[in-house]
Order: sequence, then structure tokens, then C-alpha cells
Amino acid sequence: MRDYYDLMRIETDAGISPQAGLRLYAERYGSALSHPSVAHIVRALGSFADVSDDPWLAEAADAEASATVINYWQQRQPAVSTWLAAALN
Amino acid sequence: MAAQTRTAQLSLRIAAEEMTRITEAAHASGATVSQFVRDAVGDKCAAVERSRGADADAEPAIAGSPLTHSEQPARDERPAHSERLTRSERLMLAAVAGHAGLDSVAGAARAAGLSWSAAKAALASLERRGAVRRRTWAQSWRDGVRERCVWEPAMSAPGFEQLWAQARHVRLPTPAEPGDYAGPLPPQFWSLFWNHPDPSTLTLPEDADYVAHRLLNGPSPHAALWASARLPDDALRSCLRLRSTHPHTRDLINNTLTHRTATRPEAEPNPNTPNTK
Repeated sequence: MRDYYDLMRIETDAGISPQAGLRLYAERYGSALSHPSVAHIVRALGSFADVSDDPWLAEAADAEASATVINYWQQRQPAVSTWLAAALN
Repeated sequence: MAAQTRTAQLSLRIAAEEMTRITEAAHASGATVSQFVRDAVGDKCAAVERSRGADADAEPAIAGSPLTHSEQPARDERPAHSERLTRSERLMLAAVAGHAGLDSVAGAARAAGLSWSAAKAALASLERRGAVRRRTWAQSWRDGVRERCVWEPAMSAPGFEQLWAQARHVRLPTPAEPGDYAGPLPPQFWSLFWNHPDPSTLTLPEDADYVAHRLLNGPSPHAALWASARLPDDALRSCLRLRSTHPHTRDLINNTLTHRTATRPEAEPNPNTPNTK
């Protein structure tokens, strides 16, 4: 959950979108957006079934932080997946 | 309005023929007249500054410099990324960074809101400066593999940040939300229908349920993303009824359906439909 929270703050506070983050990821490892790991990341963005909770969030950030993070990425995932699908079309 | 005012002020100060020449040159470059003139004046000022600096450097004996003129770094050899981008280059850089999969000049021109020729010139210039590059990759296609070539921002290139800082706040034409796909099944997904006698005969939306089940629950994460973005709502809902649908895929479908409900405009009521109330 902490990773999702960090990604949310990176986008909201620093203005670096998930799309730019995926480009940096592909650049860092010398692969293209067509690499399967990129699509796996996007699929995992909006799925919290196997994500363990982070007690730090409730203590240090906000009691509702986990719910906020989940809601944020569930709303963001379709736009990111549409963006990536256009790249691979 | 501000640009028009500046153009009017400019046209009062120069001859009509000269104004026509400037306007044509600006249109050819893809920039507005005011932007074109501003860039030209900026380049001229920079050239004058450089020539003044060169004159000063030509007196090493007076200045007592330990370096001879030939040993000093040439002022014209500035790195390419330190230069200003033109309006069309800023638009194109923003378009390449914002859109994934731009594989043609025409597509890049549409994304940036430029003419074809201006887009081609801007792409060539950005490639020369190292801000944009072409990446080639293999994609499964029909019964084999094809090469695709797309433009992408060279984010790890030195100086990219400086160039990107000029394009970060550019406003691009709003891309249309991709609707439901209609037509034959795209060839890059044929290999996933390995046990179908002829995948080329599958069409959408007629075979949407079958295609959705195969793409969303198949081994290709790209195919699943494409299906979630381009297949109709009913086909996606039919996948939720399958026990074999993975939890990640269920979440992807649910998020997509919620997003579509929130963003798609409500259907206009049909005036010919009788009111049953």
C-alpha cells in the first residue's frame, strides 16, 4: 500500500503522471512500453486484492489514507490503460 | 487577441510585401506570426551577442589570457539542448510525450495540432537535438511478427529536462475518447485464437463476448488492456460472470465500467419513444 501511496503523492505533488513514470521505467531498464512488465504494472494499479495494508499510513498520514489511495487508483487506472492500449495498437 | 494585436502593431511598422513574406514563413514553420517574429529577433540578438563576444576574445594579448584563441571553447558550439524551442517544436515534444504509439507523421501532426509539413520539420529538429527518438520493436502480426516504429521522448538524454521545461505547460488538442472498436479482430491478437480455424473472420462487435473472454483471460496483458479499453460494456460484463476470470482482471473490468459510466454523456431521450409514465 505504501508504494501506491507514494505513486499517488508523486503525481499529485510533483506532477509526474503514471504515464511519464512508465516511460521512465522503460527507459531505466532499456525496454519499450511494449514489454509485458509495463502492462502488468498497469493491471496492478487498480487492483488491491493482494495488497497488504500499511499501518504507517493510518498513523502518519490519515485514518482514511488507504481508502483514498484505493479510490484514487481505481479512478486513474482506466485512463492509463487506455493510454497504453493506444501505444500497442 | 493579444497575438492579433501584436501582429497589427507589427504590420504598421513594415511594408506590406515584407509582412506577407513573414506571414508565409511563419505558416511554413508552424508558428504564429508573433511567435515567429519573437524567435527570429531572439536569434538575431543572440547572434549579435556572440559576435561581440568573439570580438572581445580576439584580443588575448591585451586581456592577458593564457589561452590562445584556438584553444578557447567556441561560443557557437553550445549544446543543442540549450537553445529555445519553436512553437511547433514545443507542441510536438508535448505530443510525443503525452501520446504513446505515435508511428506516423500524420498521427503526430494530429496529436500536436500542426500541419503535416510543420510536424515533419519539428520531429526532424527534435530528433537532431536528441529530445525525441524512434524506437523499433517487434509485434505479433497475423501469423508472424512485424516491426513497428514509434516516436518517444528521449527522457534519459542529457538536456532533455531543459527542453521539456519549455514544453511542459503546452496545451494540446483534447484527444477524443476511443469508442468501442468495430471491425475485424486486429491481427496482433490472432495468435491468441490458436484453436480457432480462422481468426481473421472474427468481427466486432458481433463476436465481442468470445473475443473478450479470450483476450481478458489470456496470457497477454497487452491484449487484456486493449480489450478493457475498446470492447463494449456488455462483453466486459459477460467476463465478470465467468468463474475463470482472474481477480486482477475483475478489478480492471469494474474500474473501466465505473469510469465509462462517469465519463460517457447520458443518452439523449428519444422524442419518438412513447412516455409510459
